[in-house]
Amino acid sequence: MSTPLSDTRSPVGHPDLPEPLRHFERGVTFLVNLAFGLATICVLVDLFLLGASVVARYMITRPITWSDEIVALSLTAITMLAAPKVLLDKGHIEVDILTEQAQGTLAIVIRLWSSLAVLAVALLLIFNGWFTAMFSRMIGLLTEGYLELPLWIFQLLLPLGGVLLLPVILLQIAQTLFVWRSTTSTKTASPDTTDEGSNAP
Amino acid sequence: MIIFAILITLLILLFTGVPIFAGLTLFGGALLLMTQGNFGPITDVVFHEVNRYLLVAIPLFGFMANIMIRGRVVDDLYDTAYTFTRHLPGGLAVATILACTIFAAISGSSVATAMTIGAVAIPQMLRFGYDERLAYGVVAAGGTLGILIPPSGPMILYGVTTDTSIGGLFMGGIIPGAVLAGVFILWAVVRSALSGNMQREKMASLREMVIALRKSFWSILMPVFVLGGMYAGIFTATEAAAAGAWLALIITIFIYRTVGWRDIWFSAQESARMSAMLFMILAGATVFSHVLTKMRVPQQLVESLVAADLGTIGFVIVMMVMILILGMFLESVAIILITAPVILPAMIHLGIDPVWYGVLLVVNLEMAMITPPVGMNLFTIKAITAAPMGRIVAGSAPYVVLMLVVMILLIAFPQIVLWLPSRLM
Repeated sequence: MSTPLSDTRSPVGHPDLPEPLRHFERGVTFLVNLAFGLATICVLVDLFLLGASVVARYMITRPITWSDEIVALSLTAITMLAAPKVLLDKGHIEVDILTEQAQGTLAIVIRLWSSLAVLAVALLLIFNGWFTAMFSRMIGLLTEGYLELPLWIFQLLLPLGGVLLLPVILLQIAQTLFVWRSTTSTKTASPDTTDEGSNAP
Repeated sequence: MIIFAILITLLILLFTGVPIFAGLTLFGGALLLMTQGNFGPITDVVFHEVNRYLLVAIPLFGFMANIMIRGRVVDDLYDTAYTFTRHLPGGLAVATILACTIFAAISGSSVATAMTIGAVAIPQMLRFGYDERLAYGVVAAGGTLGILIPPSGPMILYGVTTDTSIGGLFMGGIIPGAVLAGVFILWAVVRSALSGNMQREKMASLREMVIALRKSFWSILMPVFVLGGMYAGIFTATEAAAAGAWLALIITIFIYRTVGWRDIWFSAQESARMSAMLFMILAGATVFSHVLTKMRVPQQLVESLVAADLGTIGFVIVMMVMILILGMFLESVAIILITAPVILPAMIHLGIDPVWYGVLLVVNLEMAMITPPVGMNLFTIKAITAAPMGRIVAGSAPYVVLMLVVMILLIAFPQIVLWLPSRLM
C-alpha cells in the first residue's frame, strides 16, 4: 500500500512538457496550494478554538457554547480543501502491489483508469452535493446546536471540493496522455528499441 | 453469501490501482444505482458522517505529534531508555521498544513511531553490531504499538463508526499495549542473549538514571498529561487532543526553544494533509456502508451467524482470521471503515463488548502493518534503511507470531482488555 505513483513514474515536472500544459500545471498548483492554505488555517483555528474552549470551561467557568459546533463543521472544510493537494502530490492511499508491476501501455491505462475513477467521484460531489445543498436551502435546514446556521452553506463545501479536484484530475490525465504520446513517438523514432515501455510512467 | 461477493468485488476494484476513497465511493455509488436507481442524498450522508466533533481529535493529535517531532523533544527519549536498559542483553533493542512505547503514547500513529524512533535506533543498533534482522524487526514491531497505546487514530475512527466510547477504547488499549511491549522486550533479550554477539555496558547508576529522566521529562509528561486528563474526567478525547497540542507548543516554544512559526505552519499542513487522506476514505466508506445498510447486508450477516451457531468466540475468531487476511492487502483505516459498520449489528446481537472487539481489531491491524505484501511499517523501515525487503520481513516475522499469541490471550481472557475501562469509567 502506498501513494499512487512513485516520483520516478510521475510525469509532473517532465522537462519536455508543452508550454500550455506547463501554464496549466502552474495555475492548478497555485489554486490547490491556496485551498490547502485555507485548510491549514482551519486546523489552526480549531486548535485555537478548542484551547480557548478548555480554558473558558475549566478556568473561568464560562464555556464557549458554539466552539464544538464550529470545529465539527470545519472538518468538511479541511477535507475538501486539502484533498486536491493530496491528490496533486499523489498522496491518497491506494493498493498498488499489482499495478506497480505494470509497464508501458498497461501502466498508462491504469493511470487513466485511476484518474477517471477520481473524476467520477468529483462529479458525484459536484452534482449530488449541489442538489443536496439546494434542497437544504429550499426547506430551510439549519445546523444542529446553538448557532443554527443555514446548513446549505456548509454543504456547499462538498461540491467545492469536487470543483477543486477537477483541474487536478484533468492535469493528471493530460500529463499521462503526454507521456504516453512522447513514449510512443520515441519508440517510433528508434524502432530497434527492445526494452519496451522502459520510459513509460 | 452476498457480503463475500461484495467484498471480493470491492477488493478486485481496489487492486486495479484506484485510490481507496474513490474505489469505495464508486463501488458504493454503483450499488446504490443498481439497487435504488439513483444516488439519493448521498453527499448529505457523507457530510453528517465527516462532521463529527470527536473526529477533530485526529488532526489535533496529528498536530501534537508533529510539533513534538519538529521540536526534537523525543530525541532525548531514546537516550533515556538506553540509560535504563544498557546492562541488558540487547540493551539497545530493549531501549528501542521502550522508546516506541512512550512515543506511541504521543503520536497515535504506527508509521510515525517507526519512522521517528527507527531513524535514531536502527543506525545505533547496526553500529553496535546488532543483527540487521533484529534491528529492523524491533523497530517495525515496536512501531506498531503506536496504534494500540493511546491516543490512537484507528481507535478514534472505530469509536466514531461504532458509537463506542473513545475513552473506553483508549483505556482498553493500555494493558494489552504494555503486555505486547513486555513480550517484545522479552523476545529481544532472549534473542540477543542467545546470539551473544552484542556489546553490553555496566548498569547505569541512580544518578545517571535521574539525569536521563530529567532530560526526557517533557516527552514523558505529554502522555501523562493527555491521558491523565482524559481518565480524570477533565478532558474529552477532543479536548485532550487540543490541550496536548497546546502543551506541545508551550514545551517546544518556551522550554526547548526549537519550534518557530514555520514549524507550526508545517505541522498544521501535515495535519490537514493526513486528515484529508483519512476523511476522504471515511467519506467513501460512508457511501459503501450506507448502501450495505440499504441492502440489509448486516442483517443478513446476523441471520447467517445465527444459523451457523458460531457463538461469540467463534464469531470473533472468524472475524480475526478475515481481518488478518485483509490486513495483508489493505490499509488499516480502510479495514476498520469497511468491516466495522457491517459487523456492528452482529456484535450487538452476540453481546460482544465493542471495546474488547475494538482492541482485538487494533492488535490485528498491528500485525497487518508488518505482514507482507502490504505492511506500512515494512515500507517505513525500507524507506529509512533501503535494506532488502526480505530481510525486513524476516526480522519482523517473529513479532507477528508474538502478536498472534497475545491476541489469542486477549480472546481467551477479555478482562485483560476490559479491566482498566471497568475500573476507570
